[in-house]
Amino acid sequence: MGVNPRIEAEEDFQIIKEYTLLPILLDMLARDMNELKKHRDKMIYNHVLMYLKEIEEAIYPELRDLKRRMRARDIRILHTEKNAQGIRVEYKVRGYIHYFTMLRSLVKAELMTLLMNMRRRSG
Amino acid sequence: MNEKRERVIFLADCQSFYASVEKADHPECRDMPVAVAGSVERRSGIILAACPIAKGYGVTTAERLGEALTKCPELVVIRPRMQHYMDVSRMITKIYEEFTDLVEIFSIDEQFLDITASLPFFGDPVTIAKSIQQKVLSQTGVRVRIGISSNKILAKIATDIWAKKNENGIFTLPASEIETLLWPQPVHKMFGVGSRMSAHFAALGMNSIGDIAGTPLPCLKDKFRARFGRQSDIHAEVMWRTANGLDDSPVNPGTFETPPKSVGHMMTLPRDYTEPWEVDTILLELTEEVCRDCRRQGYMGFVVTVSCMCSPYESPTGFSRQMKMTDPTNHTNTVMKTVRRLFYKYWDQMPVRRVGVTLSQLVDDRTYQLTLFEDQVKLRALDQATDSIKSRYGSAAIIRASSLTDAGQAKDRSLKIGGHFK
Repeated sequence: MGVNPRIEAEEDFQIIKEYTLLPILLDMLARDMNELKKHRDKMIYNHVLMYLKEIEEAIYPELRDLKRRMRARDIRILHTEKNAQGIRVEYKVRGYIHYFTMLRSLVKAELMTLLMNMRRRSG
Repeated sequence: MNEKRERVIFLADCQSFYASVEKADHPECRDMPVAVAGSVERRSGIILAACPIAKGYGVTTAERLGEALTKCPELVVIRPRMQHYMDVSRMITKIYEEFTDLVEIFSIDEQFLDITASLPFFGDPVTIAKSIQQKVLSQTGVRVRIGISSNKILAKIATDIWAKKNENGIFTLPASEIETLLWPQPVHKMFGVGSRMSAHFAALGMNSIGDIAGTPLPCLKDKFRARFGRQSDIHAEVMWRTANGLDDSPVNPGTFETPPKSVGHMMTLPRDYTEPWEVDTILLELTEEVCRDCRRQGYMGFVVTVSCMCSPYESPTGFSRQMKMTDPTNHTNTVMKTVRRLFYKYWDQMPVRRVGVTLSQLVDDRTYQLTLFEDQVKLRALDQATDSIKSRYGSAAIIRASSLTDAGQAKDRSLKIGGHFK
């Protein structure tokens, strides 16, 4: 944790970044799983569905862990705004307000990286 | 507060900005050499930015795409997205503004920050620089290098000479150490000195930055006058002050809010234009762009400047001439008459490869001189109508009929910013 409470530590905004991106990944997975369920060729799609379900289930404990770390580090989300450009989060770290912004194109790229990392972790 | 306290200025520079933005957006290219480049067909086929991996293959900024591909056949070439880079740049500026309200945009990938008043809140300059680096990297995928010093020119020098080459991308250049750190550096590393200026300094017997700094200013002015003519005093003083690290200018957040001194546009043509009707088409398109910009910003101009460069590339001919109109205006057809007069007076009939139009000596357009010879209200209303159509539906929504000919570039240019794709 940073010595100066006014300045964020790298871990602080990494937590915010993951806590912002994981729910978007959940929404994306839910949408894609619904899409896959419509297909008739169950043999192939069931396999993909099962894999996506596994990822979805792995996200919830991650989110719980992030929430716990946020409490421990006194981080609170104040406001989240999604618009055509991307996402903007206003949050408080140890009493001081900061912002996290990410453009839409990078959100997608970061989600792909997150997915890849999760796959690596789950083996 | 102690008014004599030394300022703390950062110059934050984004590494391979366009390429870094593209790499962040394309994680599949993370370990590949990536370059952002224009298209060869349109003579804009140069490397605008190359990532560090591509630079490792010898690919350099501003070299021809073909040459870059010879050096690195597996180079991933991405088309530029200028609007996106501008959005990312604005976002990075916003991140800096979380640390200080004194942020001055120097270019799309460089900003000055005055963090003097932020130190009591956030800690020492290096801690702030590290935090900025981490935050920008986390939110945009762009690595920032930061030069730290007591004024803008030293911060810029600290970035260019050291921070860009450092592993951590941060370098502090205290004003007290320029004698030991800066002065032994060769002249070509100084800000504002390119290959031609280096050759001039070499001819004047100055090979290190210290040689310039150590020359008394009146003596340097004399040397410059002997080499460049009478009008070189200011240039000599700029060089001398840069070498001595002297810069009192404040970090000014409103750089882009100050009124412009001129409004101009330039176009490199996709092929050489030889026929007058072809050149006329381009002159009209450029004049239209310039006048529309003036109208949007609320200015009229007195002075029209036309510049032209003709082929061949190796020994080009060309001119840059200006003319003052009787009354200031931003009406396209009126300006076009002067543009044509200037162009055909000085054009040597050689094939045209680049042409530019500028309007200067700007005045407010809310009041204008009436004349019996034209209906200005009607002309202004027409310009206003076409401008509002373009603002709402895009620059190509309404164009001159001549722009629909082979010579016309208006449609193509509406897809670009600064000659590169939006």
